[in-house]
Amino acid sequence: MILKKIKLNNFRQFRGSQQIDFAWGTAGKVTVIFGENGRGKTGIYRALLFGLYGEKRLTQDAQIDDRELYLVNYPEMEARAGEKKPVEARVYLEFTHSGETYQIERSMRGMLDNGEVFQEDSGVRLVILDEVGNATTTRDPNVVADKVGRILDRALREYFLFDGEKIERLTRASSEQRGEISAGVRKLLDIDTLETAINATTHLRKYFDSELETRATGEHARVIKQLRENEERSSKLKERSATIEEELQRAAKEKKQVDAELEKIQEIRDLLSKRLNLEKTEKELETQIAGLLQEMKDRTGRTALLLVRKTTDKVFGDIDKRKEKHEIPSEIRRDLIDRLISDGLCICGTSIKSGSDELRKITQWRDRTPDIQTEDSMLNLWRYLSIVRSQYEDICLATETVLQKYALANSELHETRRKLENLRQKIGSTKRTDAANLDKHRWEIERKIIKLEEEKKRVQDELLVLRDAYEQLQQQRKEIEKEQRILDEFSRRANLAVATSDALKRIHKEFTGETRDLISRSATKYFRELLDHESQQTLRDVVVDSDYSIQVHDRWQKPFLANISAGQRQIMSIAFIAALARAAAGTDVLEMPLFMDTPFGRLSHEHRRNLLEHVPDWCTQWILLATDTEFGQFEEKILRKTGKWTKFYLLKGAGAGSTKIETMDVTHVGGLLREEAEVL
Amino acid sequence: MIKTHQLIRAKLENFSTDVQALAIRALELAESMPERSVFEQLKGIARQITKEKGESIDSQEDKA
Repeated sequence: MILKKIKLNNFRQFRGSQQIDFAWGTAGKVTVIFGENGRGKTGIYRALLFGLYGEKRLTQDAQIDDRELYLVNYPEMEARAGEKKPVEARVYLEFTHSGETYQIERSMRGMLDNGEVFQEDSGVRLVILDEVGNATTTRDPNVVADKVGRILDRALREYFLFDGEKIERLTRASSEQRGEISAGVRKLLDIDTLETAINATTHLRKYFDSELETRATGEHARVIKQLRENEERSSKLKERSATIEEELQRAAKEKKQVDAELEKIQEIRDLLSKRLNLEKTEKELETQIAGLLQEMKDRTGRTALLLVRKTTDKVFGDIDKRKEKHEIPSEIRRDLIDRLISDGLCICGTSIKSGSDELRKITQWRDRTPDIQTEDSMLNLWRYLSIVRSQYEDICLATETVLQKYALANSELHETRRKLENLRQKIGSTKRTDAANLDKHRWEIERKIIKLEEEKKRVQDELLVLRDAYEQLQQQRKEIEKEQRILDEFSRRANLAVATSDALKRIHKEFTGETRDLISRSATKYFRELLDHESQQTLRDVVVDSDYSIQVHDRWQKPFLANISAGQRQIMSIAFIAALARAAAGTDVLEMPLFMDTPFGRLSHEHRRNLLEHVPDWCTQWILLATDTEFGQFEEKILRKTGKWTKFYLLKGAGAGSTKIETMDVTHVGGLLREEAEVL
Repeated sequence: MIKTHQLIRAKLENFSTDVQALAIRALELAESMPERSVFEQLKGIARQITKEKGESIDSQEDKA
């Protein structure tokens, strides 16, 4: 398909009749449609899809109500509101394909009545001009859809007509996306047709075999019966295999969802882990504190001495002082002095008379002398206090140590409990349960996947055994038919069906394998051409898997798709599309237009440069809808150097809600564009 | 798409003419018909091929 022109009449913001002639054939390859955001670039993309498929909504319109989406130019409807006449919006599209020219005109009517907009389809017309100019016309929407679908199937349009967001989706690894890509590739390569033919011939084989089985006898009948049973068993196993595959995909999807949920509450999981550790610490501290309290209790007796330390010191000091003065122990015992006073006679024989100076002195001496029990007690007390005083420092040190440990542990416990309280507030009881349940659910899914994988292996092994047995039985059947000269028509039919079915299956296997290899090789070549220098250090090969999902390998040949950036994904998708088109067309040149709506947003400057330099070589037509922020003098110079850029259209504001399409010479657009220095 | 069919036809050249004839018809029909309809059509085509030719089993084997 090569797009030649698009005419817009009162479509979206394009009021009146306006036209774009795309660069094609010898007149160049590249058309740039340039405009600030909101000027209608996507309106042109929308017009293209409306013209080709009658599509009114884009993915980005998901949140917009149909009644609010005006395809008919609003200012024109407003201007004609007084006349109560509808406005017709038309898109005319002209393209060539396989030597024929296609002219599609699709229209809608719209009217503004009492502030409300009414819109309805008003028809489609397709004219096909063959190589010699014979025209066929159809107005049947189904026929138009069929004709256009045969050129560019609706499911495939996103490969060639896309915006930056959509193209990046091609490389996403979801099973849904894989299925979509697989369906698209199969359609593009027409593998679906081959598969329909295979299935039909398989039915045919079964039908003729059952016909033959009713007529066959003896060994011949037995082998045919075994072949049928073999096929029935294989069929059941294949069904089971497909179911397992679906279950595996569902389980993988579910696991991914659980992971995403867990990811969402990852913070809570971290908090839970922290809480667990803190609870452990809390318990340890509580045990430690209980031990320290017990130790303090055990020391109570000795520690209590510290309370009477001053008194102890004073008592000890007093006794000690008296000891130093030799008052204790006294040289003469008090009971002996009492007897001397009572006898009135000193030890030396001197008489002690009443009222004498001697008696007074002896009495004073007696009064100073403690009695024997008191003296013994004082001496005992002195000895005890002496021992106690020698232990004071040890008691002090031990008590201080225990108290310090207790204080520290208590402080830690307090802090731990404060943190725990904070965590509890953060976590919340519901989420805690969710996290635990999700973890359990994830584990169950993993178990299920393991079981399914085991069953898948068993099924595949049995299928291999059945396939070998089938081939042997077919061989036996041929030998029996040859030996017994069973060459009737029934047998010949059955054999023809078997041979045809087997031939198509073999071709399918070869073809898909070769095609995957070709797409992988080409996509890798294009990808490397487009990748910036930095990415080339990491990324190596694009690989197309058996289900046509795309993977990229790093320099160690390990899958790396999950780690590449959005810009790299975009580059990879473009490389994949180019490779796909090459595989479909069997040439180095893409036989479809690449219609890209604002594709540079996520690309680095080097990626942009590579894209601008190489894409014109790969495709027959490149239509680029670019904003002023992504297409500047830097891009202009690179594109001009290719020598393939010949058309430039500027989308200009023309009053409220309207855009004017102006054509400009590509050599004179520099002044409009952002300066080079800004991007370099 | 044209290329795809050319490749398949080229690969079919390794098989007997009867197999080629039936397979090509199957592919042509599959382009515009659902599986069931292709099967119904093929029944008649296969009967016609075997009736017309009435050839031996050997000729229907894979030449390759």
